[in-house]
Amino acid sequence: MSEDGNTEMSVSEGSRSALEATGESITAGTGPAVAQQPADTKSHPAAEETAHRPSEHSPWPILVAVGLLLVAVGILHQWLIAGLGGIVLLVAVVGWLWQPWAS
Amino acid sequence: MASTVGAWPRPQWYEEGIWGWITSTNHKRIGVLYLSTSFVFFFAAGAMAMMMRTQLARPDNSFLTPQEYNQIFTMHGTTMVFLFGMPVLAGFANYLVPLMIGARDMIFPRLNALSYWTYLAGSLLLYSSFLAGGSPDAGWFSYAPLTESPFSKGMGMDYWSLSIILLGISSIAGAVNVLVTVLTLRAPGMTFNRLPLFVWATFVNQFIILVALPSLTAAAVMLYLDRHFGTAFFNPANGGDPLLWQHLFWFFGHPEVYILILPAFGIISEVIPVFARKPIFGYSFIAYSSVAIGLLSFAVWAHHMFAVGMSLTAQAVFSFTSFTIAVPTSVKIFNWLATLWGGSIRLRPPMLFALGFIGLFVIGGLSGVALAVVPFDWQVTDSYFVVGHLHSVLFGGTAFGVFAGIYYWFPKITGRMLNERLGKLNFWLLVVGFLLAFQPMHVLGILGMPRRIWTYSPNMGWNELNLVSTIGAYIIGIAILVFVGNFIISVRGGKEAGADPWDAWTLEWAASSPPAAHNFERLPEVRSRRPLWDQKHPDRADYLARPLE
Repeated sequence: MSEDGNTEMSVSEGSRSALEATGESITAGTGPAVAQQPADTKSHPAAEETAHRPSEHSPWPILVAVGLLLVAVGILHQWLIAGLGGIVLLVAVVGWLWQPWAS
Repeated sequence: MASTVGAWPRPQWYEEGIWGWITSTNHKRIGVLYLSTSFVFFFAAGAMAMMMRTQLARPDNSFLTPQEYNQIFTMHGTTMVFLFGMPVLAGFANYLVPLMIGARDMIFPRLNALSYWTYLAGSLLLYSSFLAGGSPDAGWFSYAPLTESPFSKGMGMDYWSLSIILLGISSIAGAVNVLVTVLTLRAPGMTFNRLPLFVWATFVNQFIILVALPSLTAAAVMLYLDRHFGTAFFNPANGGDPLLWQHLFWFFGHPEVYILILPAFGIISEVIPVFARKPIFGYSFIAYSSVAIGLLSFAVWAHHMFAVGMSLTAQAVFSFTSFTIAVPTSVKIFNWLATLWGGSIRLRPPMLFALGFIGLFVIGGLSGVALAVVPFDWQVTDSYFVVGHLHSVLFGGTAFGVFAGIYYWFPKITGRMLNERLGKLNFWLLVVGFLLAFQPMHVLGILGMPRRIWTYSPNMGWNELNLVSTIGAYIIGIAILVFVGNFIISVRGGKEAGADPWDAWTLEWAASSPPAAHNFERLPEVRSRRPLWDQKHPDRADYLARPLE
């Protein structure tokens, strides 16, 4: 029985002898075809957008992490370092938001 | 008609050097960074394990001082859980999830980079404690009130809590990213019922992280406030409750076991059908059992606390839920065995590790069921039985799953094959080392050996079993050296892999090895759970087959 309403699994979860392996190749799907289900063509809009978005370079994530590390070290040892970390963090977050999303 | 997702020029930055790596937001590069960094910490934690086992190899040993021993077992546990186990699986998720669902990248590439760099920052902070007067020394679960300032006077626990906060930020950001990526970036036709089982397992894993991690992160903040700002959350001397720490910690800590094991289940579910040359048996049961495990994992935490004086009702409830969670886990094991049944099994290294996983993980699973029995738990709580159990689960399970995944996807990541002979040597040494190192621990625990002890008297009857355990640890060390040698040899001169060396079925094998920055020039049409099979065998495609009666 179809589980997702779109397609049928050829494989009856191991219960059909016709699907048993022979050597390096499997003999799945040797039964008569009864219905060729159409492929889904819809995808989430974000998928379409991302599909055409170039991968980017961004220095801001590592700078945010450096800022967080400085804040942590500052909390442990010297509040001045934490302040410096806060500034780095702020700059990095602003830079992050300022950088175009698909440069 | 195949769906085409546009040809795309290879960006120049992809070829760039260290700057390219530091600023990259590409999921594959971040995945490689996660994998390589986590293995560095795996080696470090492994070296600490060897030091502990050397100390315990014979009674009254003085290889380490008690303080050094406490620091090393704390850093070993913290490293293996937070700096190796979780990140190595995050590495697999980063590299593979977009490829497997037919996406170009993660939905939030910069957030993805932030997750990695925050993980590295937290790790460096934790390890810098060695330079700042001593690392944490209260065990990886840092029980209060031992960790409160009157009892832990150095800065080790401060480093631990702040590192855990940074690592928590990293994991939570990563979880959001993976969840939204799977929800929104699946290729056309990639319905949830066609998702590769590794993606299913990772999806549930990231959901658990999202719900469980905040509990630990909040507890770490509260601990720091207790130590420095006069609050009294956990210190009974000031009106706090140390059991609150245990509840907050184990509400994270037990789901953490499933955070560490579910993606390994996913890896095994990918490897076994390909090397048995059969489609997976019981896809739906395997997928939904992951969901069941994910939900039940939040209802078992107090079985770590049977010895603290809980009510009988609470003990009965948590004992019952702990038994229950064995059911979906067993469902997976039975389905893997059914997949193997009648298959044409190829005993290549990924398959060896997958088979090893099934056998060895079951040992850990069964000892876990034993620990759910309250009277038995009372007898062996805080003993070496528990150490044997958790290592059987996490080494026999997670580590073997990770090695199966490394041997399986190494050709995709590097374009080269790992040496098979060395891979098999790696496997057998690990199996022998595992059995010798961790199984005697169960007996030692029943004989009364407490965990976290620095040394023991020669008349306790523990000498021989401890020696055997140490020999096993050394064999594991040799196995890891074989793996490192194999890695170096294969990266430099391994056989070229080609796009699909295992004749596999999921989408990542449709990309070149290693994949281009944008993953796919052309996506296979997704009309079943095995899109690449359909493409290679259009006359016997899955979607042509007769439906089940």
